[in-house]
Amino acid sequence: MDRIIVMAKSEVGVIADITAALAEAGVNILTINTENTGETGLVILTTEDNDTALSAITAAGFRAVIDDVLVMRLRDEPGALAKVAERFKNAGVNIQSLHILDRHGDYATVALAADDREAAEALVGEESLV
Amino acid sequence: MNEPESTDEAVKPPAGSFNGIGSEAQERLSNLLEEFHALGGRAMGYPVNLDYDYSDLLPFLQYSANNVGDPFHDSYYASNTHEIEREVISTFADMMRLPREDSWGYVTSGGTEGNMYGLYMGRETYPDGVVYFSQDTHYSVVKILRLLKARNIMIKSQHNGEIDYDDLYETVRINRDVPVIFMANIGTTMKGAIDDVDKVRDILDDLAVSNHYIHADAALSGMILPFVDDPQPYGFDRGFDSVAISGHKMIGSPLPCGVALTRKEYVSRIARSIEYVGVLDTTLTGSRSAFAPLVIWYAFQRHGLEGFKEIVTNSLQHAEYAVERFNEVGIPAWRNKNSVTVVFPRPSERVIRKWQIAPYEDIAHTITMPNVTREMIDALVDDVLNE
Repeated sequence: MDRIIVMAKSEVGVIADITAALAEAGVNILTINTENTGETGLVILTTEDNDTALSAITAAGFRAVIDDVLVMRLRDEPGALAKVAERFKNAGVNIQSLHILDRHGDYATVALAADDREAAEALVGEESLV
Repeated sequence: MNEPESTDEAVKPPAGSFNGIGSEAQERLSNLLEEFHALGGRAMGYPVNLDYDYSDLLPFLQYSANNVGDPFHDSYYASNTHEIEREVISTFADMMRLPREDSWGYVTSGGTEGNMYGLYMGRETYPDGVVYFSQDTHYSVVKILRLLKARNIMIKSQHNGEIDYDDLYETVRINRDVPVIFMANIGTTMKGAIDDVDKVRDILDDLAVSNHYIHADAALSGMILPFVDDPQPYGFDRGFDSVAISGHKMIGSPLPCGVALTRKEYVSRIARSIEYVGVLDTTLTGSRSAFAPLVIWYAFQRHGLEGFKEIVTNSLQHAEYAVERFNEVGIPAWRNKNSVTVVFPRPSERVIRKWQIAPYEDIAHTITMPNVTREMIDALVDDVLNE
């Protein structure tokens, strides 16, 4: 099932705000996990209605994506994305889009869409995938 | 230009006569008019110039004029303003250093349509190209790229909002065999940063990328750089292949509008491919506003280029005044060169709502458009300081 990945500051009340927004929109949460990386955290959800959930979370002021993209964490340095692009190029996997979602500390959270998702996951590597 | 009073109560809203509808509906419109009027005195966060008067053009609202089609071709729909639209395009061609005889363009519904047109042109020119754009690019570009199904890679931004040239170099280097469609920000939304197209062209030259296309989003700064003494590189003589400039921003307009401008030779190529399916319409939309070209044309008739130079100079002085005032009281505000966008730490929700400030994460900005007075700046600084 597709996941929703929410980027949020690591501060008190974030989970409460997200779940309140979903409750108000009448969306049932199936699973919820969090990951903290210093100042920024990721909240990873599965719900019964991802479209409504995404609207509600965005309307509540959070940055969120549906996981039809691969979300990965990379070192925030010049050329880091380029290296990923090079691996894909060498493997013949076409990158449709590569977007920075967030930058925090020494790391950036990046969303990637490719024409072959399975191959893309292998190329990114488990250690980088969110 | 007359400076408006800074308080809501000082000037009464224009009288509305809504006799053609019921009393309840009349009251709703009157209330809406009052609300708009009150908001105008506290509009400090968005790049819209409210200081204009187009009442001379009101008689034209009695007619169903329509600029459907290419402004440079005849239209069977005779109530149009194509001739005036062509003059508007020529004015912008002059400002963007594109010889009139080589230029083509049209008046759009706003910056997004202009960006869509430019990126569409780039994608049609290089169907296998990759679009590169910075992290600080306007969100609508991502939407456009999705619509166009164009391959795209976001590049990091520097702290000031300008693209990170090292990251761009490294990323293009990996894909140097693929045509580059570069989306240049000539004034980013949040920080007013300007990508240096000379540096971008140097990168492309250094990597021997000969197939490239540069579209410039110059929504606000496209009406600033032509009027300053030391502008950052801009224009078709510095590598632009197309540019989008808004009409409702620095010029000011009661309806959103803008201009898409490119080289005539590119449009001829696109037109041929459209002709194949039996339609020759080089604009993105079918029916188009005939009123918007009138508004832009009228503004240029009224102020002239000298008048706009004065307006822009005044706005830049107000931006500097805002930075100084914030800094004087210990608030670390700053702005990019030739920008009317003043960035400062995100204030309280109360201040954001009162002054219609645009926040993003931990920063906010005020944009000193021509309707923003020193009194308004002083009041904003006081509010931020006293919260």
